[in-house]
Amino acid sequence: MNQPIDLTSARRRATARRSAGVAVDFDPARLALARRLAALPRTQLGRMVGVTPSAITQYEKGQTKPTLPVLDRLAEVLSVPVQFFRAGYPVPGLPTGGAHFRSLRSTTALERDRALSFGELALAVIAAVELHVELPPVRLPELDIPADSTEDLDRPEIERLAGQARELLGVARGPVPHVVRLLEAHGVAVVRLEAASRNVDAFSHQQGCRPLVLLTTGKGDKARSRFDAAHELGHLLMHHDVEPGSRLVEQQAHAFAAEFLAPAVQIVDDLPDRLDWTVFHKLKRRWGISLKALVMRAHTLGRISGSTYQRGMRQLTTWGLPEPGPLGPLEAPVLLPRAVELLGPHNTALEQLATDSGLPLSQVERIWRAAGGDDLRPTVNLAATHAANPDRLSGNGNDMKLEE
Amino acid sequence: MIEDLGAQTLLNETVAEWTGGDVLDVICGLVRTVWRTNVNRHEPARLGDDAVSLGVQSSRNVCNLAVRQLADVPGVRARDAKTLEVTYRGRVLHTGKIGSRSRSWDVSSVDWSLSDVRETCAKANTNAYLPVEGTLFEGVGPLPGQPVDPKELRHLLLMWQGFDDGSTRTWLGFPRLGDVPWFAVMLVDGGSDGRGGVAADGETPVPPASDFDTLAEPALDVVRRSGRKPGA
Repeated sequence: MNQPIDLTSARRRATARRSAGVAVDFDPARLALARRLAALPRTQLGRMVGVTPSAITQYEKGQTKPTLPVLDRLAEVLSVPVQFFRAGYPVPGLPTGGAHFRSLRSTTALERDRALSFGELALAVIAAVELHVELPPVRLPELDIPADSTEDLDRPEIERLAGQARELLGVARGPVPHVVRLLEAHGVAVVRLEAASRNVDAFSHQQGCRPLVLLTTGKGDKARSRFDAAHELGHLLMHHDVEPGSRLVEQQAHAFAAEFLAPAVQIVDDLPDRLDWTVFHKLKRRWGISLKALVMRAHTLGRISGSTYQRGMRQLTTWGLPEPGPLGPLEAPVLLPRAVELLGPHNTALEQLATDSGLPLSQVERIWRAAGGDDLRPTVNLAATHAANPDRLSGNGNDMKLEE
Repeated sequence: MIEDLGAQTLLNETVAEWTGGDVLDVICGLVRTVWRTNVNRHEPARLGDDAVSLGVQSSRNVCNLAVRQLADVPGVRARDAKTLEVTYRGRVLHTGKIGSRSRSWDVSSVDWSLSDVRETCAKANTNAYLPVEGTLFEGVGPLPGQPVDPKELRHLLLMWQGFDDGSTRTWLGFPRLGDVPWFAVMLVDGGSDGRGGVAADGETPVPPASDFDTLAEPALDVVRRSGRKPGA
């Protein structure tokens, strides 16, 4: 049963809060961002802070401003410093309706919103980076999609589009060497979601300052992660004006990824006509795609029967994830860390970005790690190195570890 | 050769597991390298080498190198027990070199009685798995306590054959006693036609297709804007 409201003490608390003053330079959107990052509904946040849910709504809409004690409490509950809420550095929002989330039924709206707000944070940091560094321009190709027929795209049409995408993105015949790097080289921001968003699949969005792809750790399976990245590329290239989330749209992106990573004409003759796992393993290492995707490909391309396909899927389920035959560490994004290196020692550079974005350093570091910062551990001042030898930038991250 | 369907399925799974764990690749790779090296240094006229010395030398090389290379592979125990013995995922693999250097040699013609190790493996498997399929008692079903689960097959034999041109063929299977020497066996290395996968010196090998992660990554153009300094 609900406790009776003690109006006297409530009034006393409210008076005390008001007498402490209100936050003048408060940014309502930042409170919403922090709440979404914490995946807290307004009711729960209100309870934790000691105000009503409607008060939280009013703060987020800018109808009222929180008092300083409430602001302190909000910061404490949401695990951000108070200055996170300061106005003057707007973080552009990403509309939920523009995000290509895959499993709408298996994730809650709060989980999706948390993941989306993480993407907003990432784009805010990237925007700050772009004040100092020229990142690759957005150069995603325009595919020859028949007008008004995206929803009618059939497999041959998608295969044609995937082939066109390979050509326009400069992918040579054979396997795609590094899907994440290909995306970054064409101006796409790629970030890995944190463990807190493990229920959310990879997703993409293209209504921010740059196209954005958020990948998951995919249970540590590199092949699966590459496929996810290619799937999101499919959305970015084919689904400009399509309502995200439908089963059809997701199937199209899957078909695109399969053809993009391993074109039918190049792989069909190598696919076995039975469950020959030794051959599948060799193809997995060559093309960098999972056994599951290969068995599916063998079935789609008519190499194995439906019953053999089912048997293969049962076997793969038994093995679970990650699949046998690991391909090594996940493909890591490097664009943001490399740009940060150009700004000087990373601690100083991240502080600079925190100032420029109006975000707390802890949040900037969080994005830096998610964008591959932890995978790149340089030991030199790269600003000097790259000025002397700009070609070093075209190598992989390992080049940088060797410089002294 | 009539093989057991349950054992064949298990063998497929086992090959996938052992390939995934890099064990099979290491051993098959060693077989190829060792044999080619030893064929190149085989000198009957000058050093008195013969087929036996070549075979023994190669078997010992494969054994010693595999113990060394598999020492750090997680979950694998490799030791020299007269011949190579590798334990992984609850199964034990032994290796053996086939004496014949003829391409027409048939894997179903092996004779386990020529080797104590192989015969012991075949015997252990035969005691562990007694299927009723394909026997006169198929319609009756198994007797109480009869071991009918192929997963009880623990002993694998990797048999390899070397040819004079330096190429090799390698099979993996579950050996058994009786008229049929294998519950299941498959060629795991040596080309799809089974004629030997590695060309000898002097031939022009066909270059293998490149794996995705050996190819050049796209370049990233990231350039510092002029006129701005850190902290500006």
